[in-house]
Amino acid sequence: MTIKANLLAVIAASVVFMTMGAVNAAPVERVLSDCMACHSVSQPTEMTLDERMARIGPSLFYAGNKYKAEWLASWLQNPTRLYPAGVYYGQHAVVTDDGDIVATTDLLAHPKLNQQQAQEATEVLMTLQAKSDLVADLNPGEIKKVSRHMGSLNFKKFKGCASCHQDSAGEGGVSGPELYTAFERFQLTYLISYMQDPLAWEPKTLMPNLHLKQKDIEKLVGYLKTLSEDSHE
Amino acid sequence: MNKVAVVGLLLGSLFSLNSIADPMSGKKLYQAYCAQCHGMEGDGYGINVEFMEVLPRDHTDTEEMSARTDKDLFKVIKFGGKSIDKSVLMPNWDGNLTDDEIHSLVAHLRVLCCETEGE
Repeated sequence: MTIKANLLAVIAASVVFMTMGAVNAAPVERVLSDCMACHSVSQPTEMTLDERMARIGPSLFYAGNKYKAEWLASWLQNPTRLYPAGVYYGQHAVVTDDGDIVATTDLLAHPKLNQQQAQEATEVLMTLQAKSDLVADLNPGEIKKVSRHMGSLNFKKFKGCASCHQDSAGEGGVSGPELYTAFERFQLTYLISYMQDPLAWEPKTLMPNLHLKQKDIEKLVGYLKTLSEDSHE
Repeated sequence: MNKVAVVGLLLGSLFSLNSIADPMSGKKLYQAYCAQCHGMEGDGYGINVEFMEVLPRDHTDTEEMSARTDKDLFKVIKFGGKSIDKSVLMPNWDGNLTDDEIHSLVAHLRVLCCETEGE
């Protein structure tokens, strides 16, 4: 999809969201049809690399197993950029003499919803529960916070997460989603399951399966918890 | 094994190698998985490098890349930088890519490093 077509899709979605309430359609159908402009809301029969590279928004067909409802309702009213280079960086990477940069002016903003719209959209999105089998048997205990210093070393040097992800605003790789709000954003079972096997959720994900041990995952999630709690202090 | 079978096996291997190491499909895979760090043109300056302590390999460097065998390149893509005592910032792609896809990527690396425009 071209940038122009992407822009049109987002404008169309924004207009539809702005006129919500005036449309006399069932809430579920209405919300899903709005989201479909940029997201897949039903599980595709096959996920291909071409489809992954054409995406402008993340998959939502398992949103109910991925996001925390409270975060979702809040974010939809005040959306911030989660993917610094877009969902597929290649759509926005520009080659320059000083190395590749992200054409930030090409990045599209998510439509901003009012409180009622956000609540309604959240309720509908939380019903999308594909991939439930991946989290059904997970019963994580209390996640211990990890010191910022050790967590940062692990994130950056030992596991290499910072190659693609930011652990604070403006610091780290930009091709993957930022992770400094990940603990607030994602359900704990999703975080653990995704780190165990990202391809089980997204067969064409750009995230490698690092074959992390349970202890490694707990340390990384503990660091994300530290980042989240520190940001509120 | 008789001669006919041996010739058949050799021909089969040739066709098989030709079909799996496809630099064109390797190019698309490179744009999806590698260019974020190694750069859209393979020069080692991808969008992620600003905060990296080790610069990704410049795949257009003919001399450097000629010193690497196809086997080495296959190994580092499949099992990551650690497998050849290089940086952990280069992850293992064994979960995302089949062996055939990695062979195609290696073929594309050879185009990037060692074929001048127009060839």
